[in-house]
Amino acid sequence: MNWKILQIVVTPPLLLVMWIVPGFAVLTARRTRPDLFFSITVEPSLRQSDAGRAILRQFSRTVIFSSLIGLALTLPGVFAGLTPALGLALILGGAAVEFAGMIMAWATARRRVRPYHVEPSREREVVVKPRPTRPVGGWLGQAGPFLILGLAALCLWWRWDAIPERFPVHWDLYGRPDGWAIKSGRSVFGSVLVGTLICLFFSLLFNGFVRGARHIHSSGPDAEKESRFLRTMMLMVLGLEYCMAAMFGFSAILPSRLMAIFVVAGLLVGVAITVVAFRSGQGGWRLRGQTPASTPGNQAPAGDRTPDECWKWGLFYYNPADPALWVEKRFGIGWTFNFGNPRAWFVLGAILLFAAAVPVLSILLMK
Amino acid sequence: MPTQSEMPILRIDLGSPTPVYRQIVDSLRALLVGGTFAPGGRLPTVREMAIDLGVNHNTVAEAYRLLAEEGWLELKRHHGATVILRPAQRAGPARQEDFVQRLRELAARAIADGVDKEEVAKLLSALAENLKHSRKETL
Repeated sequence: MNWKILQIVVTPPLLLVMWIVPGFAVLTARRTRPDLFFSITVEPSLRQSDAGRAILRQFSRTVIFSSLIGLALTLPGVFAGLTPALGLALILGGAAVEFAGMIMAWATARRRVRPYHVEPSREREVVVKPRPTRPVGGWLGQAGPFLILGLAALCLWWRWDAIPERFPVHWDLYGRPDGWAIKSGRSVFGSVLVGTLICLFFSLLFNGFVRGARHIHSSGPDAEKESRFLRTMMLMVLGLEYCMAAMFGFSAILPSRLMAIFVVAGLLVGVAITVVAFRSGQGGWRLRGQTPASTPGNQAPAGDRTPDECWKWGLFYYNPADPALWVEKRFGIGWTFNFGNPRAWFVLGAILLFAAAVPVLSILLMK
Repeated sequence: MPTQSEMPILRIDLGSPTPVYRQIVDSLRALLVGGTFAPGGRLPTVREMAIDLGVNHNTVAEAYRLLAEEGWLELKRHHGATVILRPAQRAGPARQEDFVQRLRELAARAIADGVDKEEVAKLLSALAENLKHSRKETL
């Protein structure tokens, strides 16, 4: 086996994940809905109490400590000039240590939170009004990225002679091109096709989340915050689609320097989405004007309107009795599948297939 | 555009001994009687309501079907439920007697549960006042 190639392939994504995931885990524990603490329904006041703070502290410390040990093992594997096989073993060993530490931190925190569990409210409320058919940003706003891609295809066809024999198709984090394609019908229009597929994927997925996800609160300030959060996130995702449409559509004809602007803009929007999501908290509960989540006429916490017992290890939702395809994550920002719904497996399969198909298609079309 | 607080809200309690479809029927009927929806108004689709309430589609579909049988809704495939103009009904003496009996039982139950007598009376008169001001054709 060629250990060197394997090491080169495995190291960059693994190192990235090893840096990012612990940070997200520590932050996420503070951003879930106030009445859900480590995926367990509790009184909203628990997180701010001494006991809650102690649990959070211990969780953060364990995650950070195990990550440091993991990285201490991984980094020599990458940089110490060891044999590739030993280097790879250290890299994977470091990742395993970090992962095990995070699992331990999670399990310990849940064990400590369990005594504070309270029964969530069994009241449900819904606004008796059909959901709006008009998507966030309007139909024209949603169609914008596809219009840009269509326009790009026309431009490419119109200005075929102006396309250089070799043009960039991949850029590094600083917006500098690091991958090139030779001019051909397949490579030039392939980029537009890939861009269209990516924009379509984002559009379908996020509109699906907005239309198909459960509204946790239907009335009061919590409901307004929830809808503000959804709207903001959708508009930002739409912004990302615009950047990608411009990037994939015009890569063959625009100068590299101009393309770098789109690449950097796309990255900035991606970072902004993450920052806004974490600042707002799950479902936007941290947005200004927040009041403690509670069900009208009932003091029991509303949680996320899913039963605790349907959350496997607090991370995976399995409830065949719930018609929802996806529900709010209990640990994280955004949504997760209801694995008890057979359609969820079908959609998950389609997403994975798409995620695998796009890079393959890009390589086939644009080489 | 109505604000969030003015939106018609339907609430159910999954822990209640009353079946969920019955709670949906009762809540929706209360909104319909109160004239919250004009004829031609659309209700959420069965799927939307089932997802938000976290109950089976069939439960919501059954509730809509019962309201359609009572003449409140028109159900069309792929178009959801539409509120229709319901002709005024005239209850016979037996129906009225049954209603009075049920109202007495309800009031007695509330008082037995500790609700103040005067509070019950106040609530009933507020309800009567509310009914007086709701749209005629829905009563």
